[in-house]
Amino acid sequence: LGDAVLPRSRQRLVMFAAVHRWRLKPGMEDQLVEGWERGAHARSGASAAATGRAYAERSDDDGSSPGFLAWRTSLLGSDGPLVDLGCGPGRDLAAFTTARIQCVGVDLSEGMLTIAARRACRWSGGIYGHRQFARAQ
Amino acid sequence: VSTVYSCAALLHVPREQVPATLQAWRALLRPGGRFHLSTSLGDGEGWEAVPYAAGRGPQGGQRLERWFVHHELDNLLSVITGAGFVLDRVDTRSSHRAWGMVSAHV
Repeated sequence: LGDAVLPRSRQRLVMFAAVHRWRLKPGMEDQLVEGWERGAHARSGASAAATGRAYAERSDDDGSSPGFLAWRTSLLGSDGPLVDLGCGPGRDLAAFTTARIQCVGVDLSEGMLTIAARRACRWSGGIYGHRQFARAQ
Repeated sequence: VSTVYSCAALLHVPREQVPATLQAWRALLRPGGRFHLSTSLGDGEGWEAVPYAAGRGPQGGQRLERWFVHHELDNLLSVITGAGFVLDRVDTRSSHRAWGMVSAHV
């Protein structure tokens, strides 16, 4: 990724070897991804209230608190390319790309990147080319 | 790369690998490039249940846990500067965890 400022046509696949493995117990990545997907349903009112509360708690913690939002908002003038290391399901990529920052999302979880890529289409009104997702190794 | 951003990810990197990780992140950046980090504050490391899986029923399978590594702020800042960053701004906030938000540049 030291060469992440590749020709744009080559940025779709960026290998990143320097992020160390997240410690996730074996077999848990699927559950983690499922947790996010269930949460996303809950947020839209389509799933169980208990899951919704659990997700809301997490979301409040990580993404919705005024302190966090103020901090992230202060970064919307950042220069691109911006690399989000550990982008997960891409919550912050949405904010940065909406601010027209060229972004690369990096994560060790292919499942998370799948969610991020799918959400990216929604967030950008179908304009997908504005961001690239990379599978970290 | 002009900007490296990482929110709630370094807290899953084993402590002994944090200096090398930050050095690798620094190496991504062009001269003058910016680094923005948010990670949890505190001490210790270990498996913790993730709250958004708390709604799982008894048939929900294994409890979902991830490895968390918390950092004392002063130590974290030392590791960041030791990796070659120049600090620009440090903020903290609290939710059910304490968080440090650090901005630095190369």
